[in-house]
Amino acid sequence: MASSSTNKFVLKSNDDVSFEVTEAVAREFQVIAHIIDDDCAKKAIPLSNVTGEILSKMIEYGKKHIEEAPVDEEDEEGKKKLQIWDEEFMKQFNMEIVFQLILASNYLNNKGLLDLTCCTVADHIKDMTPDEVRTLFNVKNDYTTEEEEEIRKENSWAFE
Amino acid sequence: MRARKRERRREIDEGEEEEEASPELPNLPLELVMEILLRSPVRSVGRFRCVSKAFCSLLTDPKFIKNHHDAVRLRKNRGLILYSNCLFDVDFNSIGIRDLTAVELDHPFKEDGDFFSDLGKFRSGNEMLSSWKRNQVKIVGSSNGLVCIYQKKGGAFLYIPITGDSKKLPDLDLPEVVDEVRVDFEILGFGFDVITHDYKVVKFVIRKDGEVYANVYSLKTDSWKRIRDMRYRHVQYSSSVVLNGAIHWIVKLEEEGENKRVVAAFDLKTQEFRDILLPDEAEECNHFTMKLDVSSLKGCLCVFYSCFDMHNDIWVMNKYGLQSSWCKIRIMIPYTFMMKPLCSTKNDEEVLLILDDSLILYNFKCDTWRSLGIRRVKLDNGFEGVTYIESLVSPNSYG
Repeated sequence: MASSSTNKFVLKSNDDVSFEVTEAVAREFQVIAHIIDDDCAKKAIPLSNVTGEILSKMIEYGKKHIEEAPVDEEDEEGKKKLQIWDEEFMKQFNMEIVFQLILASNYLNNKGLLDLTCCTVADHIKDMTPDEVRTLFNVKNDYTTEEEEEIRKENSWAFE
Repeated sequence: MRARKRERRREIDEGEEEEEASPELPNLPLELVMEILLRSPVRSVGRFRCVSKAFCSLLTDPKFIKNHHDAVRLRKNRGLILYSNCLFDVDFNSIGIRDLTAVELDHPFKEDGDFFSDLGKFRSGNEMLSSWKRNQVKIVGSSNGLVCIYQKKGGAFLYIPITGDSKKLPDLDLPEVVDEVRVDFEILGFGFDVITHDYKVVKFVIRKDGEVYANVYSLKTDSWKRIRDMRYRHVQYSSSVVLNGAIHWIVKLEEEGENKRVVAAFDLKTQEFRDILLPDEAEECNHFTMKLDVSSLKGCLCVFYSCFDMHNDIWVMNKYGLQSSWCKIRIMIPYTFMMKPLCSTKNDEEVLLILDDSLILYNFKCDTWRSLGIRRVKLDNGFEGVTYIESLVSPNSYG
């Protein structure tokens, strides 16, 4: 059996962009790991929910986390280095890309990237008003004026 | 792309009337929105309960609250509260980076009124002093999201900073000391027993004749239990610190008619006391109000002087329980009665200290330090502080 560092797979986005990656990088995405394990990965693996633009970013993230993986649980320096890279990595994206990365990392099941992208949004929205959050997530306000007043009163500590 | 967006939306909204989505952003299903909110600070979660009914019901769900608590704990997101006439929440993430800001918090003793505005009422200084003692709020300790606060007059509370949720501990029924005149003061300690998953509060009641009564409260049973066979007497006021599954105080042990100071360690699991001996040299302060107190420095038990005389030495027990591992370190700023490390900063290089009436960021490697100011807050001598983990879990829903 070929080692996971030499074994290559091709990932194909929904807009027909192909990326050749090592098995180790491909396995960073749980869904792809399952496809490989089920031996259905002879040819290119089509990913119907991910665009080439997003997939290239996800592969960049996966590669970095394989190459620079901390040696073990105790490797605080390695963890810190990767954390700094993660922060820099996220800085280049606008919210639209971040949202797409959330959807794609959920779809391909990469817990690390899902956590990172969700943290980015959590930080982005932390000082927002309920109304700004409604706009961002496209949620309709279904409270009556009285109900909203009541719920604001109950959570008044959150508006200080 | 647009068609796909619509389709996804329809799944989420379950047929609800559709509003035009903001043009650039894809819609996230509610489960992914919740993934984001699991990573949001407590205040944001409270605010976002006002977004919609679905948001509110998900964000008040006990399962969400528990998962949120676990996520915050994992992330080691800390907050800092200080008590100096009022209780403040200090912006922890700004420490060492920019000027600190503080928000005043609601707490169970807040309604009690300001002692100083009552000054005119007292006929004598003694009366004033005893009223001040009764009204003084103490931060006993913090564990996970819970903070234990205490006031002689109002009793002890388990308290969640920010949300202000609290639970009053039942009163302690002590027939032997029921007469308040005979009680000198009380000392508390608070910790979490990881074995039984129970929060415990220990309370010493010290009688004027030196007799000490100790009781332990369990949140699971919501009741007090007397600890028998107390060997400690004439306990001085001391803070407490939790380390290695035990709460620690400085107490006096009566041995062959002599009062000897030791660190009393209350094992949170076995509920028994054990003595940790102090280095002999630690007693070599000759000040007439000589007093020692405990805290912890980078995970090690440490003892400092609290006698209103200048000191710049601290005793650190490098290896817990090992008598020979006590060592003396000196800091560059002398203190007179309080040297309490609150926490290490994010990069672990600096330690946040309460030093008398200042909040100090101290670098123990290079022995450099700087004093931190908080906007619009003046810290008084004897101010208290503790770090806590942000939480939405109510102490009333425990068990």
